[in-house]
Order: sequence, then structure tokens, then C-alpha cells
Amino acid sequence: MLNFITNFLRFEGIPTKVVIITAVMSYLLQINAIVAGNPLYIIALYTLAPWIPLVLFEGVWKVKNYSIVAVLALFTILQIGHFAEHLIQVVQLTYLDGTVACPPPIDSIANYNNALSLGIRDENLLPTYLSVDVIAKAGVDGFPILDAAGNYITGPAACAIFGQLDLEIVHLVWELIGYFGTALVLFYFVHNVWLLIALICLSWHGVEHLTITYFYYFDQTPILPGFKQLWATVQLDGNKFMAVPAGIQEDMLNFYQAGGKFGILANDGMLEQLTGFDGMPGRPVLHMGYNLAITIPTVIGCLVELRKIRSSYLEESFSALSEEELTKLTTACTTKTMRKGDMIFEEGDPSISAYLIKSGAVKVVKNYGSSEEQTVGHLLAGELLGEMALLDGKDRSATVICEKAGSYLVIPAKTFRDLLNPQSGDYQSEATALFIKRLADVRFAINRELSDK
Amino acid sequence: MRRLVGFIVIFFPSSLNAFCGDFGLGVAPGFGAIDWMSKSPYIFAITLLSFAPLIFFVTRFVRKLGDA
Repeated sequence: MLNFITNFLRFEGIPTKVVIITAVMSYLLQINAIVAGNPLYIIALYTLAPWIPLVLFEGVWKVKNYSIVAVLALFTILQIGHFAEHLIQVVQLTYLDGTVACPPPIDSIANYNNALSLGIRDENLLPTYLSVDVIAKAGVDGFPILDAAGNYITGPAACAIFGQLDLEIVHLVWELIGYFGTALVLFYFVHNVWLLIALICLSWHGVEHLTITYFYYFDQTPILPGFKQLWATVQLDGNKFMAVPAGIQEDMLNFYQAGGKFGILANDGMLEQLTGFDGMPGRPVLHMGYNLAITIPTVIGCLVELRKIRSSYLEESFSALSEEELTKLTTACTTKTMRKGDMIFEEGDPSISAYLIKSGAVKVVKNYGSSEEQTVGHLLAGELLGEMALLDGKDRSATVICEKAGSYLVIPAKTFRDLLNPQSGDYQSEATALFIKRLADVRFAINRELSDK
Repeated sequence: MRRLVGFIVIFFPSSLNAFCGDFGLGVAPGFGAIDWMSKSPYIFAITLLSFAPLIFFVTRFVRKLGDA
């Protein structure tokens, strides 16, 4: 099972060369971003950007080949990523002395002017509009707290890696992707209780985010006097900036700003305000908890379905096999891509597997590369390949070369022999064994005919 | 060019959230239960909206469990 999950997480539909080139590009961009002194989110952005088209193509390929299970796997990966962002934020806040000012202050004109008035910035360094990496702790007066040596007490902006996206609308969209994604897969996996638990947790999480987002967008009337924190931005090194507290500005606050932003169950949220109870976790910790409660059942639910995964292609080709047998066959096979001119195997190679062409075309060639080279056949999608050598126990009798780019399934020798022996192996389908044998008989006959000529 | 990209990538979402940041700043003095009570009809409606689809899935799950 672990082996199959590893295979499933690999790029199956994209040629290895493309994956290697993308990896090299990603590393080069990453090194360039590090050397240029960029903050973490820009390094992460450069590192991930080249992978985006590959992941999209691979996602489409997986949905075509594994149907709805691939959609579930995709949502599970997104959910794990979402949880990781919340976890990182809590680590930044709890263990690294971070400040929750999200999205982090940017090196804007206002923050540039604040820094000039405090006399902590060179006026020739104009605003860059980059987000700050580091924030100095603010006291109740809105100015920096200093340590015994008179230095700022600093920590990261506790907004995870992609803090610039720490917006209410982004929180809501992620929540809704999880909500509708889980609802969609539940249509197919009716018996999966883990996904149902995940949907229950998502429903409550949805209440929190819909409430907060409602206040944010539709409740703008100022209701109470309060204050806003002002920031001054100074350069650290390269493109890294620090936000220094620059006092507070009195202002009238709307419902969201006054306290609605904490939602229903977080510290200072509705529950505490209505009951007087004081002991709920802060919003970052609470929402990490929500995401943990969603992620755990989602991952278990996904693993449960992956154990039953069936390649839609094998389902069509070996329709006589039972669902369990198709799952076994799917997990035993691996998919490979081929480009025009690629050699699948060469005459004289030992026979270790059979192949099923999923897309594209190949030609079978005798005496390849010699003056007696002869093309003896062309095989298209849906045709078996390399089964003859497994049946007669000999080495490959011909070379097979890709004529039209596509992909093929590798069926290991043991699996192939099990398919042929319904009484002894893992597969009990007489019809499938007969189908393969008939196919092989035809191939043997053609081969004999060619040899006679 | 780098500044332009930085501006688009960072400033645009940040400006969208101009009043949204700093959710760690705390509660305004005087904000409390009475303000939340006035919002209860909205919160009730949102809760119904969010949980309504669950009724369908739980019912379906129980029915299928019975069939099995």
C-alpha cells in the first residue's frame, strides 16, 4: 500500500526529463532569491512557481486515470497545505516571539514617512512595497518595547509563509474549497464515515468564517472609539524589512475591527463576550485546531479510498476482473510515459514484465539498427505488448520503439502470470486469462507467419 | 520591473485588507455582549446555511448503511 501511495504521489503522466528540468529551474530560482536577500515568502514563491503547470497537468492526468479518488487526493493535499500554514503561524507566534499583524505591514509610503519622522530611515531608500519579515514588539502606547540593552524585541510576522494572503476572503475561499470538495467526493464515497466527520468539522469552521467575513464586508458602520497601530518600516538587509511600532492613531472602529474579527469561539470572541468566560484559545491557535480536526479525518478518509483505487483504464481493458482484483492490479502496475523514438525494450533483453499501451503507438522491429532491420508490426492503444516472452520464457524477440508519444502500463511478470492462472494466483477471472491467452495465440501465429517468410 | 511585480503581488491583496489586518490588536473598550446579541439573527442564519447540507449527507449515509 505504501509503495502504491509513493507511486501515486509521483509524476506519472509527465516525462521524467520535464520533471528534472523543472526541479533544476526551481532550485536555480530558489538560490537566486536567497542570494538576492529576499524574504521567505518570495523565496517560497520562486521555488513553487515552476511546479504549478506540472501539478495542473498531472492533476488532470490523475483524474482521467483514477477518476474521483484523484479529486479526493487533491483536496487532501490542499487541506494538508492549509493546515501547515496554520501550524507555521502558531509556531511563529508561540515559539519565535512573533506578532500577529496580518497581512504583515508593507514598506509603503505611509510607513516610509513614519520611519522618517522617527529618524530611523535613510530618506534616499524609497518605499519598495515589499512585506516586512520582522516586527518589533509594540507596547500599550503603540511604541516599541525595548530590552535591558535598549534594543527592540523582535520576532517574525506571525502570518505563516504566505502572510500576504492572510485575508478574510482567502480564509473563506479555502474553507469553501474544502467544504464543497468534501461534499462532492461524499456523493461518490457514501460509506466513508471519515469524510462525513470532516464535513461536520468543515460546517462549523464555515460558520466561523462566514460570520467573520460577513462582519468584514457588510458591517462597516463605525460603532466604537478605538485605535489603530501605526508602523514604520526600516531595511534590514537585501530585500528584508522590519516594522517598528510608530504609535497609535485614534479612530472609530466598526464591528469587525472592534472585536468581530475573533469570531464565535476564539479568545475575546462571541462566547467569551456573552458568558464572561475567559479561557478560550486565541484565533490563530483555535483555527489551527479547526484545521487539525478537518485534516485528520480527511487524510484517513483519503487513505481508505486509496486502498480501493482502480485505474479506469484497467477497468475498461480487464472488465471481467472483480473490483478487488482491479484494485490489486492497479496497485501492482506502474504507468510510464513515452516519446517518439523512445525504446520500450530491446531484442535480447530479459523479460521481466508485460506492457499495456494506454495511448500513443509503437512499432515492433527485428534486427534493429542492422542492415536486416525489419518492422514486423505496429501496436496501438489498448494492445498488450511483451507478453510473448513471458509466456515462452525466452528473452525479447524484437525491439519495440515508440512511434507516437503516449503512455503505457508496466505489468510485472508475477502479476501477469497470476492473471493467466486463475486457480493459483491473486486473480480468479477465467475470462481474463482466456482473453490474454487468445491475444498471445494470435501474436504467436503472426510471428510464425513472419518467420516462415 | 521587480518593484512593479512586488507592488502587484503584495500591495494589491494588502490594500484589499486595509482594515482587516492586525487581528491581534484586541477588543475596543466598551465592545461586548450587547453588540454580539444584536448580531444573533445573522449568526443563526449562517449556522443554518452552513449545516443544512449535512442533513442530506447524514440521511444518505444512514440510509446506505441500512441498505448494506
